[in-house]
Amino acid sequence: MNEPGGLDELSAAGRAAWTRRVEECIAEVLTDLGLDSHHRFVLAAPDTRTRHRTAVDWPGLPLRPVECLTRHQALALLDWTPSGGEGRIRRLQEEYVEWRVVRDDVGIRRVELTTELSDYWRVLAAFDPQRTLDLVASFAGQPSVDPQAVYRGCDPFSSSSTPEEREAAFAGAMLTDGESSPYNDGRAAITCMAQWSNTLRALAQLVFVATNPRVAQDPLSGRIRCLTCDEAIPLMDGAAQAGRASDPVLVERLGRLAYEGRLVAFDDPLGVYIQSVESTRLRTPDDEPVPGDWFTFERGLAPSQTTDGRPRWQRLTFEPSADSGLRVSDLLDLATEQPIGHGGQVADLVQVALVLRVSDTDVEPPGTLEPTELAQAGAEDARRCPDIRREWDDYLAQVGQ
Amino acid sequence: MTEAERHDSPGYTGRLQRGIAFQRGRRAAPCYRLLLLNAATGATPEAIHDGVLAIDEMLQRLAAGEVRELAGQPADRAAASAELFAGLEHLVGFGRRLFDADVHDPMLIDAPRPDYLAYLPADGPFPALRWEQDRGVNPGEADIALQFTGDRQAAVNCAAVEVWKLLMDEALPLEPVASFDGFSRHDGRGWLEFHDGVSNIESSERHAALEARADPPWMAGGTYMAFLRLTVDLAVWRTLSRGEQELLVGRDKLSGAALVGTRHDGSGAAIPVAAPPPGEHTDNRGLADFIDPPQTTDPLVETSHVHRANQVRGSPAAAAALRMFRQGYEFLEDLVGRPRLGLNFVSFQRDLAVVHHVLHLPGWLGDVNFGGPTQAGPGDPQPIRLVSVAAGGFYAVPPVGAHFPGAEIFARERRDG
Repeated sequence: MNEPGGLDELSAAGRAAWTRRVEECIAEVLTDLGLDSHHRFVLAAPDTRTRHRTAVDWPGLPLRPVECLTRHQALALLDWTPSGGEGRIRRLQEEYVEWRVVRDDVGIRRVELTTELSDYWRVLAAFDPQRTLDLVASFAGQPSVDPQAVYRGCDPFSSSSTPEEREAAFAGAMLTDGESSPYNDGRAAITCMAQWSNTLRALAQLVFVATNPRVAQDPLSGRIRCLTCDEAIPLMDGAAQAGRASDPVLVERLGRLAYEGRLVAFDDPLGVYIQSVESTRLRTPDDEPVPGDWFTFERGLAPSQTTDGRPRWQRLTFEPSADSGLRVSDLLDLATEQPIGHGGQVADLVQVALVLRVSDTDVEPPGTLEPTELAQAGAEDARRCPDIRREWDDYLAQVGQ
Repeated sequence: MTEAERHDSPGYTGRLQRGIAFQRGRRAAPCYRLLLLNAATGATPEAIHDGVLAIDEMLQRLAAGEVRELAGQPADRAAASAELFAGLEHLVGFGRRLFDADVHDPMLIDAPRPDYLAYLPADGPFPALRWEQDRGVNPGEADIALQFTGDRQAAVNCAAVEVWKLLMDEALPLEPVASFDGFSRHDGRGWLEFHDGVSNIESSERHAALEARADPPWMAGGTYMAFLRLTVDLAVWRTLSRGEQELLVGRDKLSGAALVGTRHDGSGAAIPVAAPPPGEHTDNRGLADFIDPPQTTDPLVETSHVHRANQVRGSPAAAAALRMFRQGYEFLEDLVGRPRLGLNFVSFQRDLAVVHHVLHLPGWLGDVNFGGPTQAGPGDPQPIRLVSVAAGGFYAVPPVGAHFPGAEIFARERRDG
C-alpha cells in the first residue's frame, strides 16, 4: 500500500507499518461485521479484477449544521473551537476535510484545509519523528517546533522510546479531545484531520457496510430500485450519518456498485483527496477573478502524475498573494454576493473525493434480491439536529450573538 | 397514506405553487411563457404588494375562464373561454433585483434575501457557459417572474397579455421588462434530437429535491427557480457525426439508451457503446438504468453531458448529489440566416447552491460548455461551444400563502403606513 497522496515520507519500516495499519483496520472492520475472512463485494486491496477507477465526490462544507441551523449560524459554528477545546476540536467538520482560519487584525489572511488521515500521521509519528516535526513546523511556518508540543510526555528521539510510545504521545497531543496541541487544533497549525469520524476506520466501516446490494420497491412507482441513502443509512447500525454531504453519496454509490455485481476496493494510494475548487466563484473587490495561484495544493499528486488524470491533493492553502494587499475576507463569492467571512465558505468551494477501484459488472452477481423492509425515520431525527442545536447554544453562551 | 404517497397524489402540491409538474405520471404542460416585471421607480411596498395581489387574483379567475373585459358574455362564449384557459397555471417568483437596495428606494422588502439568490455576473454567468455576444444587458433579471404553463399556446400568451392589460387599466406600478416563450415536444426530444428536458428523478423523491428549508423562514415549503434561456448553435452541432454527438450527450441518439462504454475503430476514433434499449425481457436493473443511467467506469462516457450534469447520480436525499428538477421548454426565434433557437432551461430545486455547484465545478459543467473531455485525447470528440446564455435569472418561489405567495415579505411598516 503506497502512502496517501503518493507521498514518500516514510522510512522502509514506516511503509511496512502503514501497509499493516490498513490491513489491520480492514481486518477489524470485518471482525466487527462478523465476517471471518472476506467481504463478498469489498476486497481488502485492489487486484487485477478491479481494473477500473471510479470516484465519489462531495462539497467540503458540512451540511448537517446548515440543514439544522441557518447557513450563517452554521458557518460561524463550524469555525468555532470552544475555549479550552472541551473535546470539540472541529467536531462538526465531518466531511473528511477539516480547516483552520488564520486571522489578523484586518481580516482572514488564509484558510488551510487538509484531508490527511490521522491514521497515516500516527504511523509517520511513530517511525519518522524528525520528518514529523519538520512537517509540522512547515505547516506552522516556523523553523522548528518543540517536540513536546507534538509528542506529549515522550522524547521521540530517545533510544528507549518505541514506535508505539511515540504514536501514543503524538495522539495524546495532536489528536486528543483534551488539552490539544496548538499544532493541530488550529491555533498554530492544522496538521491532519482530528474529527472523530474522519478516520480510516470510519471510512472503511462505511465502505464495507454500504457495499451491499439492497433493493426496495418504490412506494409510488412500484419499481424495484436501489435504496436511497435515507432508506439505507438506518439499516447501517451507525456506520454512516444521514444529512452529511459525504456519507449519503458514498452509501448510495457503494450500494449501487454491489447491485451491479462489481467488486470494490480502495484505490492505491488510499486517501481522501481534494479534487477541485470552484475558484471561479470568487472575485476581488475590483471584480477581478481570483488568480489560480492563490490556491496552493500540496501533499499529493497533480493530475499529470496520476494514471487517471485525477489529482490526489491532501492539503490546500488559500491565501491572496502578498503583493495583492488583499485578505481572504476582502473577496466576494459571486454565488452569494457575500464576502468570505468564514472557513466554511471556502470549504463549500472544495470538492473532495474518494477514489475506488471496481471490477466489471456481474463479476459477483448479486442474485435474486428480495425488497428490503424499510424503516421510517424523520429527517430531523436522522440528522441528529438536537446535538447541533446544543452546540449552537454553547456557541451563543460563549461567543454571544 | 405515507408522506411519499401524499406528495404524489394527483393535484397535490403541498405548499409549492402550481406550475411544477412533479407528481408521478404528470407531464409538464406543453406551452410556456415567462413574463418578467419590474417595480416602477419609487413605488412603495404597499403598491407593489397590492399590485402582485391583483395580478394573482386576476390570474386565478382567468384559469377558471373569467376574462376581465368579457364579463357577462353569453354562456356558450364563456364556456369557450373556460376551455381555452383550462389547465393554465401560474407561478410567482421573486428575483434578486427585488431585494436590491441600490435599485429600490424605498426598499420593497424587509425580509432576508436567500443566500444564493444572486445576480448572474455580467462578465459571464458561469465559467463554461458564457453570455451570447453583443448582449450588454441580461434581460432575464427582474423583480418578479410570472411563469405561465398550459395546454395551449394561446392560453399562456393571453395570460401574459391579461397581466399587461391589468397593469394599464389599474395603473399598477409594475412594468413588463421581458417575456420569453417556449414549448415542449411530445416525443421528449430537444433540438439536438436526443431525449432531453424531462426529470429522471424517481417521483417519490421529487418533493425532496424541490422543497426549500426555512432559511430564510419565509421560504419554508417553497422552492427556487433557475431560468436560463440557452441558445443552441445547431449549425455547429450538425457538423458532428452521430457518434460524436452521442459521446457528447451520453446516450444513443435513436433509442435514448445510456452509453456504457466506448471502443475505438481502426482510425482510433472513439465509438460509443450503448446499453440495449429496454424490451420485453429487460430486468429491473435494465429498466432503472434506462431511466437514470448509473455511473460508468469509462472515462470518456463520464465526461458526457448526462454524467457531467449529474455526476454522482445519487438521489435528492443525498444533498451532495446536486439534483434539480428540470422542466425545460424549447424555443424558436428565427430561421433567417443561422437558426436562432434553443432551450429555456428551467429547473426547480430546494437550494440554488445546487445550480451554482453544478455550473462551477470542474468535472461537472464548470469546465466544459456542454459535454466531452476538457482536453480531447486522440479519437475523442473535440470540445465545441454549443450553448450560450441569452438571458437568465434566479428566482425564489415562495410557498402558497394567505394572500399570494410571499406576500408577507413586503415591507410592512411602509406598506401599512
